Amino acid sequence: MAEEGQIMKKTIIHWFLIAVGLLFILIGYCLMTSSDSETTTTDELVVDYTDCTSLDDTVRGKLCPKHLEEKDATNCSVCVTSFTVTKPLIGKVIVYYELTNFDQTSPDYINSRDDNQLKGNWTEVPSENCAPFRYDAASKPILPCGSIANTMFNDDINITRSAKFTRVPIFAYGMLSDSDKIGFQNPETFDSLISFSRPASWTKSLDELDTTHPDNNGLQNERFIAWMRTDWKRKPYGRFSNHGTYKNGLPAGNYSLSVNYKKYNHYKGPRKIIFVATQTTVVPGPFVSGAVLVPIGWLLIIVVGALVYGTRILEALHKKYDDIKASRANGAVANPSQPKPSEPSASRLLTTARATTDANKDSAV
Amino acid sequence: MNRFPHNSKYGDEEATPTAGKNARAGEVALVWSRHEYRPRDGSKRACGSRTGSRGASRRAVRTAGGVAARGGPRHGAAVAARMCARSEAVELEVLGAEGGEARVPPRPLRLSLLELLGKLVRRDQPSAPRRRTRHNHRFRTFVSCENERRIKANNREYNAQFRYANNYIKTSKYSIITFLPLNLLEQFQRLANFYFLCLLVLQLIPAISSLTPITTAIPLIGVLALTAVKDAYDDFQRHQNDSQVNHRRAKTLRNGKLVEEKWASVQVGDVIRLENDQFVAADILLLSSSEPNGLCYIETAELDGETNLKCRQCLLETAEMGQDDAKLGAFDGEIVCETPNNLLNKFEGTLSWREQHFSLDNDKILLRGCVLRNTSWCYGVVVFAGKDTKLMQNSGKTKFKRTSIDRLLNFLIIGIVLFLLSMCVFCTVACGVWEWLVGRYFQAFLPWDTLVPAEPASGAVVIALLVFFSYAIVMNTVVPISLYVSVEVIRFAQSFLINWDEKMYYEKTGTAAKARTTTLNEELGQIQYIFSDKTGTLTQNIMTFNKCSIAGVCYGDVVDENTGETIELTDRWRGARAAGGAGGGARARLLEREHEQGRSTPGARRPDTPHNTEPLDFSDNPEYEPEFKFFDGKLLTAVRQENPHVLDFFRLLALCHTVMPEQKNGRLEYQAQSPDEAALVSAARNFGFVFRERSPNTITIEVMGKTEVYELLCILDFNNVRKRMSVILKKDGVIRLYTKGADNVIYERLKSSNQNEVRNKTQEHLNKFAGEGLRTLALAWRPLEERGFAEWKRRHQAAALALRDRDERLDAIYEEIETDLLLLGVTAIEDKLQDGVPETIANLSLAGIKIWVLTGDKQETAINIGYSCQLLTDDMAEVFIIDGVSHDDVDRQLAKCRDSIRVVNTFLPHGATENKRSSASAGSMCGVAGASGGGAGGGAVGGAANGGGVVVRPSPGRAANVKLNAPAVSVVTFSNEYVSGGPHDALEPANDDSNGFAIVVNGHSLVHCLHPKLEEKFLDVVLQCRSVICCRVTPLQKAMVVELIKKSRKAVTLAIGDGANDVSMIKAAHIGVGISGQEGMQAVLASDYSIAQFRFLQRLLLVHGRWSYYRMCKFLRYFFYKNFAFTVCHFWFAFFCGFSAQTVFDEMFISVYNLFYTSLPVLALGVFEQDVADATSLQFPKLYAPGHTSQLFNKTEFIKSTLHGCFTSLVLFLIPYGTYKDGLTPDGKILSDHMLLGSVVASILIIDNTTQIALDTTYWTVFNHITIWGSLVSYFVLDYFYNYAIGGPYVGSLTVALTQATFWFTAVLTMIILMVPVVSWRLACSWTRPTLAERLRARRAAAPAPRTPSARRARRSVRSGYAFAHQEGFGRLITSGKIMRRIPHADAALSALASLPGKFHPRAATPPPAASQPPSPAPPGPPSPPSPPSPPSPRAPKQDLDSVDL
Repeated sequence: MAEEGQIMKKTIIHWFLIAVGLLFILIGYCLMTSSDSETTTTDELVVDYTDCTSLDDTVRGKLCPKHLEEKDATNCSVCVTSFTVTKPLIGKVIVYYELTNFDQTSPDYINSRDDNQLKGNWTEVPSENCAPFRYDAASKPILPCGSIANTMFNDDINITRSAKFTRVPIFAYGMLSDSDKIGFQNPETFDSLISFSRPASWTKSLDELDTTHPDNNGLQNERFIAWMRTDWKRKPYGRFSNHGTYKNGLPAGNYSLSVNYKKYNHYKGPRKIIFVATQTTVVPGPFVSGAVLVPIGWLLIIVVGALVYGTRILEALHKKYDDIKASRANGAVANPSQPKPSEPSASRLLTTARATTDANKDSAV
Repeated sequence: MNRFPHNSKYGDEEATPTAGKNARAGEVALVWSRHEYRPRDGSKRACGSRTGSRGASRRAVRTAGGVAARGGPRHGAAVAARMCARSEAVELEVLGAEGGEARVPPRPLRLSLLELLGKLVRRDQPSAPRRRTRHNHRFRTFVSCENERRIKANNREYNAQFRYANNYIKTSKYSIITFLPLNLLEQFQRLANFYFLCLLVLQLIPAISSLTPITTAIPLIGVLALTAVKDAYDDFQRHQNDSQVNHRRAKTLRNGKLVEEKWASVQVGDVIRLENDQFVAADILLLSSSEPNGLCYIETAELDGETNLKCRQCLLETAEMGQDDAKLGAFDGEIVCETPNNLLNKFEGTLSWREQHFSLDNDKILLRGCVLRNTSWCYGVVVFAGKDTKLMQNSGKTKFKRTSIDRLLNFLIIGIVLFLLSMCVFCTVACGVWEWLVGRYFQAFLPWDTLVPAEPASGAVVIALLVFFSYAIVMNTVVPISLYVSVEVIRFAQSFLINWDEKMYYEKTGTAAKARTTTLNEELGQIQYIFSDKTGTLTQNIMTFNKCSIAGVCYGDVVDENTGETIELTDRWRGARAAGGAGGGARARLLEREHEQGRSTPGARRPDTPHNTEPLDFSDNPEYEPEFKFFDGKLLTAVRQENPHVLDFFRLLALCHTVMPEQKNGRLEYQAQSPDEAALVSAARNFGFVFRERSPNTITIEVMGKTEVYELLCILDFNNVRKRMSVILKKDGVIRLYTKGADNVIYERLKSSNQNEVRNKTQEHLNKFAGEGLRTLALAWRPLEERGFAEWKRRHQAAALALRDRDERLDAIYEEIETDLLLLGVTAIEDKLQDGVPETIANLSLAGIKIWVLTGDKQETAINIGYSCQLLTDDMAEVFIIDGVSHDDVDRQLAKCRDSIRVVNTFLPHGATENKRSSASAGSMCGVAGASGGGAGGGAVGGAANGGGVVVRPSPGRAANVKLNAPAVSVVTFSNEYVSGGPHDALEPANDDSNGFAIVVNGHSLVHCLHPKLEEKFLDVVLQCRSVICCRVTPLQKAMVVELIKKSRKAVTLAIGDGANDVSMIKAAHIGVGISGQEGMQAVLASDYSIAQFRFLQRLLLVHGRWSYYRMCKFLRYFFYKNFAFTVCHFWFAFFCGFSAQTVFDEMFISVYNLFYTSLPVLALGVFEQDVADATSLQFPKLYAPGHTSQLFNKTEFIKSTLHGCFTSLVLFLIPYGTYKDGLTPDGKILSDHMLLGSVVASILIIDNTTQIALDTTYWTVFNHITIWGSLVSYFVLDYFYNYAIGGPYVGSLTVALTQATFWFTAVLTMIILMVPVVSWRLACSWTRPTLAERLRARRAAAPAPRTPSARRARRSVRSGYAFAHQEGFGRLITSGKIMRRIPHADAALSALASLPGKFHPRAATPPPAASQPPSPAPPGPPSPPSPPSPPSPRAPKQDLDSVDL
């Protein structure tokens, strides 16, 4: 019974060690293959457009943040900034935007949504989680309610290749897997949208988020979903087309960025656009590549430990085995024949000792 | 001074069991010593004679009473004053004995205040003035002197004013109304419950709640409800028990008429009538009984465990009333007595009736719980009722027992909470900083709550403070509520495993082991001390006439026909025999042993029955007893052939005793004060020498159907000094003295140079019997000449009338005539041990458990049993006996013991003794065979029963067997290795069972030993002894000894017993075990576990206890690991979420993580896990050792688990975080959202937990497979179910994760990082430092080898046991004729009558004035048939309970 467990454990360990060995081989292979391509490509390109210059007629040449601050304007209209791609980005390219210092991780913030609403059940009573973004000033329920939806980032970005003045097409869908979208459903029609108010900071109505693709509109808009699925700094803005010039990435050259720079609540931090080329390997980043070193480290420690202590262990095992054998062979004869050597002397000692102590006592008396 | 200060004292201490335990033992000891010292003024004699001094003390008391009675009120006052003075003096004496230090006796202020209050109240009693007018002086004395109880018989109004407790007994805790609040209050006293209540309250505050309150509320309510239901059920049972007891019927006198009432409505002062075989309803003062002279007999088994008959006698003045209800109804005596206390053997008081005062002592009191025997009716006044009765006072409060792991858990939980709080504090500070630096700019997106001030600095502070609570809630899972539920569930399941264990089922009585408490299991694996009762626990309390040697011929051995070996029989063997089967004798033995080791069910292969193992058939004797069994046909043949020696032998047995015959349902039955005597007389009866009848001066026996009448001239009764009893009989003009007694005493008095050959042979037989652990008695006789006897008789009478030193003089006279004896033979009585006791004790002590025997029996018996169950062995360096009566004596004896031990330890350093011991144990395991195989006379192996059921005298063949059985030897090397190699053994004190000392402590010495002054010294000695036997201890002392060890050694104790006298001990110990299937259920009801046989204790501890402990520890280690791994993730995440108390995991996951995903595998582990099989743990008791040092779960282990958990959580969080941060799938899908990360971490966590538990599980059952793989599957199933079907917010996250290779890569990577160190560490540990269990497993796998049980068997050469009455017999009663119902001879009747006047006016008739009275003048008359003027008040009855407390 107990042995069974022992054997079971042993086999588990064996298999485990074999599996570890195999995995290291696999990982090594992956690292080798990925390192080949790394030499020729960059992974990502960050374009900071915070200080983008306004092209608006009234404030031409002024930096947008300043403009928004000074004039208390809501819109910097269109501003332009340019950037250069020195090494091509190869692979499928995802465009992110990043808002530094933007904290989406507070539980109050994350919970400030109505999952029911997002699933298409538009009732006139939004979830309490949404407070204080449940109703607008006129007590009209907000759709989508809550703090997340209210703070949705809404700069519009266009990228043009400077040389050819051609627009780099960016699609706002196909960035998320279908499972990501399960929680977001549109109702049959947007008719009932009338009885709802849109979030205060929104410039567009819900049904106008992406009019080009009906499947990517309303609550099912991927940019909206990505925003609603809270994470850290980077949020997907869009992706390059799978077809045409940019299907294999962003070639080297000069590009310009034209942004419909909007006042984004009171956000004063930097605004960035990031182009990220997807890898073909499963090793996603330097951190994880480093982490792979950990098991290798373990292995090294074990090997060293085994080298240092292994001989000792082996010796001990041998000795034990010999002991058992020896005791089987002659222990039965040897052991019982041992007398109790110290016993008689013990009691004698005791008695003599006591006698002396008694005598001492007597003499003392 | 207060004469009974202990009353209030002890009562208070009882009420607050936890408060001032230290003080308690000391105080009680002081009380005891005071009680002890009282007799001092009367015991000027050498303290060697215990009976003497005891008798003296009683006489002193009696005299005091007598004086009070004679002298009327004034004298009474004087007496009372004297008593006070004396107790004061005694107290001073105690203090003086402590070296004259000015030491204030420990007397808490509170108690003094209570006493003072009591006095004030007494003064205000409305009854007081009336008393004062009559006994003004006396009353005042009493007030200043004591709290007493006043009762007027048949006067309810008078008694009502004192509000004495009525006879209603309530042991239940709740009523319907109080249940809910009280139970909740009790439950919330548990730290954990309270913690979760606080948590729940926190969660109800929306501002800080990061989790819904339901996550805490549901489990908390569940736990509370479950516990409440259990408590309610328990209490319901108590209610039922109470009401059953309270509704027993008692016949009460109401206005002179006998009315049947419930026990509950009996009140103090009522006169009640008891009938034969009824339980005594309350503590009553005996008024009259059906027996002559107001005698009545009781059995006190429920109280002190002694089953022999005891005798009580009422005042002859009240006995006159007989059963005249009118007279009894008019009885208006006033009783003034002590307040309720728990001293079973003491009662002091006075009865004032008809202007006379009688002193009352314990002889006149029947205690609740006793059973009336051989007395058709009796009447008595209720003195104490209900909770005031001594029985109830002795049954301590039921304490809520907790295991040491529970206590450790409580401690750890405080630690965890502190850890949690420090994490929270850290997060708070960090959050404040973050909010100040970063967070405040986020207000635009998420406005701060209205609670939070808008000003950034203070806002940040407020938010940070709120975050503190939020984190407290989020991370509360480090102290999971499911821990408590799981622990309870595991224990519950383990209890069922105990209940269902077939190997602890006793077929004979059909009782299985039962875990009556389901909360203590793992403590069974940590027992360090076992305190065992003797009677009924180690022994069966059956004395059997087993063997005898007559005129140098030994009878009683059972010889195997095939081999010529002597077989020792046990019950099981006999039972097996009866069942019948096939096989040969010698082979049968081996089969039996094999059977015992391996299989549990009674084997199908039963050996053949050699015909001589059938018990003899006595049925041709009309008076035979079917239950009497004797196996040696030789003896019966000798009787039938009328061998004169044998006839004399049995005639002596039939004549020389103090047994009382009785006809019951037409059958002759014997009532004896000791079971030994009963066994001897019944043996004679079965062999055709039937003791028929006795009168004060005749004995009638029936020898082979012929009636013989002997004239009884004298009974020289037994006492502890004489160690013998004799009768002088006359028949047909021939006078003979028959005597029986301890062999050394008899041998000294044999006629010199006579019967040399017989003597030597008999001596040989004696040694043999003693070596087998039998209790021996030597029988002898001598002829007496008429003239010589007449002269002796005259001097005897003179001595009997002596006023001074009567006992000594009588003894001297007896000595004169008990010389020149002729040896008849010896008897050997077996105080039958329960089966397997020596083996069990040997195994348990090999497991490192110390076994103490605490018994109410006398020293001789206790030592004898000690030898026969191997607690005492010959290879011990010394057996100390502490029997000093005074404090100084005991002190001196203890010092001497300490010196001896020191000497041995100095001359034999620890290492040497260690070697000696192991080699000795090796020798005793295997060597005994060799030694005794060739030994002269084929010495028998000590001990009665082997596990195998048959013990065969060792033969060379057996030795050869042993040689072949090699593993038996390698075990020794094994344990050696362990002793030397195990790190924990080195930590143990060097003296731990390293050398063979044993100590025997007497109850009266124990009083001093438990005194705070000597406590240290006592412990010092006792803890160095391998065996400790305490004899003549009271129930309370048993508990005190247990408390002492609990307190001083912080050791885990177990008390095992069967009788009501063990209840206090059972309750005091960490674990109480009751022997079930016996008559009394008191012990079982108070116990935590009940087993049917002592030998099952071995399995209960070594198998179930060990497993339970092992399982619980493994469970806890894993449980803390998994909860830290789970919870601390939130802490790591805090660094990435601005310390905002955002959780990594889904709320749903948090709620059910402990409930569904991870609980079942670990529960299965906790219930089914085992490292070695049960047979192995019995074979290698050393396996039990880790429990003693709490090796498997302690603070270090806990910290290891938590650190492992923290490490795991760090890896668990960081690797996926690194992977998924800004992560993209190869096809460009985004992987970086928070929900996805949560799902990934949760999944890997579950995988890790499952792997870990799979690694931890060494014993795979179906349940383990189901739960382990099942919970892994259930995670995915439940997650999908919850998110898709119910609509959780994390819907789709897991799907996204699982469909990506990234997840699998991350998972594998994480698992490798987590598991490689664990696995390699474990392998390294088991290779370099394997535990015993691991080595055994390895060995098992290599070569499964059976082994003989490792019971130490040692031959015993020291003879100590002689069988005899526990106390003085009924001799005096017999010869004085008091005990006779039918008085056959007129002269006897006359002599009985003659004694009456003296009895009726004892005080008036006692001539000498008090001043000239010697300290011990009281008149227990010697056995002088013509009653002299001195009142022959019977002495025997006083012996019983009284003797125990001295």
